[in-house]
Amino acid sequence: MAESRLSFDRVASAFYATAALSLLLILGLMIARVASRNFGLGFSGLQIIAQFFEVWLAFLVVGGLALDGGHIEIDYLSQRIPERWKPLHDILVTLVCLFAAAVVFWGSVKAMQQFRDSTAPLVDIPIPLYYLAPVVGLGFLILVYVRRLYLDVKEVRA
Amino acid sequence: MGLFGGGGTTTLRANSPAAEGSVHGDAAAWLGEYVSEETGGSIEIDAYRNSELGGQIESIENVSSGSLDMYVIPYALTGTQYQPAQVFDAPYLYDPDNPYEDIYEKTDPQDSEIAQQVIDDLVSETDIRSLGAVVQGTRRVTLNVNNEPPRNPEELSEYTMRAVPIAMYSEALKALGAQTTNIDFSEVPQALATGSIQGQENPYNIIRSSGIWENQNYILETNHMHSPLAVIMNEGVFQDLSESEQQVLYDGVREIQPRATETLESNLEGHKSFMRDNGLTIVPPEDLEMDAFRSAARSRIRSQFPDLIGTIEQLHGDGYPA
Amino acid sequence: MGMLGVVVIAMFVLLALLRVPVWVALLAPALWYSFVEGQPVIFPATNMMRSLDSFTFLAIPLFIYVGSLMNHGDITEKIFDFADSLVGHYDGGLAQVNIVTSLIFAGISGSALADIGGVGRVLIKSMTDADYDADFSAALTSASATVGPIFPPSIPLIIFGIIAEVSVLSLLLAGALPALLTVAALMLGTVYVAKTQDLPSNDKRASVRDIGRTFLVALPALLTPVVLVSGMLAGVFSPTEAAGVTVFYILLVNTFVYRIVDFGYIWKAAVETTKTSGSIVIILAAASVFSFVLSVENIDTMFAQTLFTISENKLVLLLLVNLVLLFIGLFLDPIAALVMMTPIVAPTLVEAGVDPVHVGVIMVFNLMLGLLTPPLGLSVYLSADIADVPVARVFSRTKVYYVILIAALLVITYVPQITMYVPRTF
Ligand code: NA
Ligand code: NA
Repeated sequence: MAESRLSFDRVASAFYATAALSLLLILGLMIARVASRNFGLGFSGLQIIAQFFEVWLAFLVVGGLALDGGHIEIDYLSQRIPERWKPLHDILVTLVCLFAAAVVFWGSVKAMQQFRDSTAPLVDIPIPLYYLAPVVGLGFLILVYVRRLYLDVKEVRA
Repeated sequence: MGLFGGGGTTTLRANSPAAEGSVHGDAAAWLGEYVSEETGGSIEIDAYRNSELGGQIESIENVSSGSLDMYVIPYALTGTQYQPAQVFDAPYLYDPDNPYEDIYEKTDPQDSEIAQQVIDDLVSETDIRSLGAVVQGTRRVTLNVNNEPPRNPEELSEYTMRAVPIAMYSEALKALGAQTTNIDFSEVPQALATGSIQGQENPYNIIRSSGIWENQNYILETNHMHSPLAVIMNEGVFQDLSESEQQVLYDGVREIQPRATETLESNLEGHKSFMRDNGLTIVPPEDLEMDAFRSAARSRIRSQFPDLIGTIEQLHGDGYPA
Repeated sequence: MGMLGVVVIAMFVLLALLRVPVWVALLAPALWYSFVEGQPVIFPATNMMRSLDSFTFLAIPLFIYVGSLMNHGDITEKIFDFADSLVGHYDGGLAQVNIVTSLIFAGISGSALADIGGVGRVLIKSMTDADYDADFSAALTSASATVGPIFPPSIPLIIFGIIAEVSVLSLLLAGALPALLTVAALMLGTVYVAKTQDLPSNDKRASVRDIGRTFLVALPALLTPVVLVSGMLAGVFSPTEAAGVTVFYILLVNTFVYRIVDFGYIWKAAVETTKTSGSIVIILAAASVFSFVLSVENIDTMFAQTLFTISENKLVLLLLVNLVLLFIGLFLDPIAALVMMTPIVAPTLVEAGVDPVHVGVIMVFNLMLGLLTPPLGLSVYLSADIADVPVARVFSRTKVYYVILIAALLVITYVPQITMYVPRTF
């Protein structure tokens, strides 16, 4: 299982890096936008491109955050759960997460089909490229949860 | 729609980006009154306003996917799903002397063959059906002017204006002569106040409700666009209705058109005197070189939208001459 | 109408308390509702994606990046040195330095926890080195960090602006005076604490020359909020762009003034930022699906009607809302509480005649106080962890400041002019 953890970490790192790159692109686009408006450079659509990278930034990191325990959680009540119930509780939490991730993943796949011919105004980014972000990000998240489920179930059996 | 519609009642959920008191905000509610009455309550429309059920692009996508039943929005925005739908927003398309009636005639999904064709294509490409249109109001230019207001495209070229990030809108504004820039609508008042832009274009009601007037001293009645507001509906939901129910929806849009015209016209006088009372100068079309604006706009549309120009010419009826 | 909405809210609270990640706790009940309602499966995907595809949203990762970049340089120590020369000689010297430093840092960063994790670390260490109780140092650091998200910039105020569709610019400007008032109250309170508990202070007042020297060193950092606020006021950039400009400014200052030429930190901070901001924006995206349910089920109307049956008096309503928010802040993370409560509370208060901008400041202030109280007092957890002392001891030393902050909250609630002066005047 250590090996699988290693490959998951690799994917997570690659996704974090891509997200960080998106952040730097957003930064560059914002600066260009301020410059364009205040010096009349006439760039247009920078905002729409920046928002596109924002979508990618958000979905790229959900899987890594689940892997590293980085999602915001409220854990003071669950700390009081008796030790022997904990693996079961973990399984339950993972199942809820898996359900939510799977529904949005599937909806995004369908959205890629439904909006295959449409594009963003002004900059003509194909809309399926927007929905590809949740497909990729949540796809990885689902794998993270399936792996966790597998480990938890093994622990309960043992 | 769905599970809780029971008892033979279909409840359609309609969204609008606009507030109560405007045609844009109220059209769905008006339609609901008519439809509920005519169908004896078997169809009801729940009208939501102020983008309560989602933003503009999101709502259009939702109508397309069936997540939202109805939406009231200018045709140009459905152009994000299917570009040719923008033809109804072409500048200087409708009869300047009788714009509202002309809009109703040319956009009618039952009587106008050209409109029918565009809408059929919209349906087959996107699952979005248009039930017809009401009028939103005429788009005009607002500016901060130091000396004399510009009266033709050449004079307007000295101004930087905010363009709506939709091809038909921004091309029309470029054609009027202005330098254009894209900034978010929420930032317009601030950008005007600080002078990073000098103007924008919108109908009177939006100029007023958004507070844009506070930072402008001139309104040029360029009247470049009489925007039809499409009442759009998801095709699947539409096809689940009986033929007579479908007909009631079509009739309903026609039925609320006079009310839209009336609301618009009665609001218009109020908006104008409000602007004058607040120190804005209104330049009427008579004092502008309208021929120059019109011919610049039409030639630019001709060159920028070669795929659409055939449909626009047909809609115009007289070849859309520059 | 109504019943299903209440079920969805109850499911959220239950799931959140069961340690389901907050974004899933919001999303899962909304998905269940969406199925019951017969919505197509595309709907939640569209809703989440489109809520992220927003201009205002861009401010969140950019402002988080600002805080992260600050914590990677040594700007923090420079701010501290200046504050030390300025107020170090007063009663409770370093305690006052702590508050002033937090305020200056608040002008750069937009999150209380980021403040504690960054400048708080330096403050706690300096105080304990100077023989202050570690538990008092941690308590004060938590309390003074409350100001961070009130003074511009502020991640929670931006989030409120996005959800309630209120001008982010006005909200950010509105926070300035309430934050200054709160700082004044905390400093006065500390004078009292110093008198009663005999806190150490610097032996002698710093010379004017020392103040001048530390000021010059800290100046570029001190200028950050000035650049930020005046840029927004002058309309050179919007709040979202302001975030980008601030990042740019800090990179320039770090490189050309403080001569930090090992550029690895820029990338490290960027990666760190994607994690922090990712965990926040995914909650906002899920909250967008959740608040669709609240809209359709008219939960805001129900809440308003319930409150209005108790009283229609604006002053009473404000008190009630404060109590509700303080209670929710006990148990929920501020962002979770903000995304759940804003669509419910804001329309009620606006209907009662409270300015939406004022509502935002009141809500954020309330929820920040929740960071100081058990059972879920994240600020106290974090600073106790840094100071390496038991959480319970820090909570008990926080009490006096909690009382001061509640008093400040009441003043801010009932004297709307304090909040509204800056956004109305400029
Ligand atoms: Na701040
Ligand atoms: Na708490």
